[in-house]
Amino acid sequence: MNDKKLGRLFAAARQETPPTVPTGFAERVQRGLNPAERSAPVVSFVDQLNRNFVRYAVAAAAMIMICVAVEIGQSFSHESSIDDDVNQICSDWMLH
Amino acid sequence: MVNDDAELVARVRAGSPDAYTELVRHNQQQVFSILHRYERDIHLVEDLAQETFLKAWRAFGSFDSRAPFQHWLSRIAVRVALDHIRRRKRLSGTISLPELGEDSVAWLRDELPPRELQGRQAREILDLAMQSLSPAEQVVITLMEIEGRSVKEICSLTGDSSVAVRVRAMRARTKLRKAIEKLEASEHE
Repeated sequence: MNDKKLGRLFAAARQETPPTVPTGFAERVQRGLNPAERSAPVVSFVDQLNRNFVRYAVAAAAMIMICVAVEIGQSFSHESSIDDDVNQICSDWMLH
Repeated sequence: MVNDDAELVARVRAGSPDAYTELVRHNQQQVFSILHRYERDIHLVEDLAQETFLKAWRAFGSFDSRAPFQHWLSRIAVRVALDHIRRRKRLSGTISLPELGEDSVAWLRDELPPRELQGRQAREILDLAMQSLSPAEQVVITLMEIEGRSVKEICSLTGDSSVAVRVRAMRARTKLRKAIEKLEASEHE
């Protein structure tokens, strides 16, 4: 069996026509559902979280950026630096 | 009459089960086309297609509309096919292999002109030869060589990495060549 013969076999298999769908198949699927399942598909909390993950991530990133911007703005307006804040925290926590 | 899958999906989400029946009608031929590559018995193909649509309904909440509904459904159909091949392989000790028709045997013996092989006969030979492949290899080689899908598409449908897909395809081709050589040898005897 060479590659050419195997290739011919695949090419011939590709020509096979798919079967036609029996009449009423969609209704059969509907009948296959339990009565409790028929009303609407169940959307769990995890599914909702997963579906909206990108939106939540963008909102969280925006919130963090706003907080950082406010912090920087405040530090400029109070003419203090992060170093001063760190020193203040160190003195509050470690020396007392 | 609604023709757009996205609109039907929105209606299903809004709580209309009839919209799902319409969605099934829109996509049933595609699901049958995928599944019949792995199963020749039309009644079993119908059962597998029903299983695909029921699984899709139960997992509908996880469909996020980032990809088209048809693509999401194809992934479920491929997974259903893979499970079916695994089940069939477990039971293969109790199921007799289908016999080859006269034309298929003639083609294996090189007694039939190369272009004369029909789709059904090629399928007979491939089904027999594919018994030597693992279920995952069967799916990969079918998607690649018979459905003509790219490695990227196969990765998306099976969830495998591109390396895994390429390695499986290469192994599958080698095993198929050997299996068909065996068939040729047995048919020459």
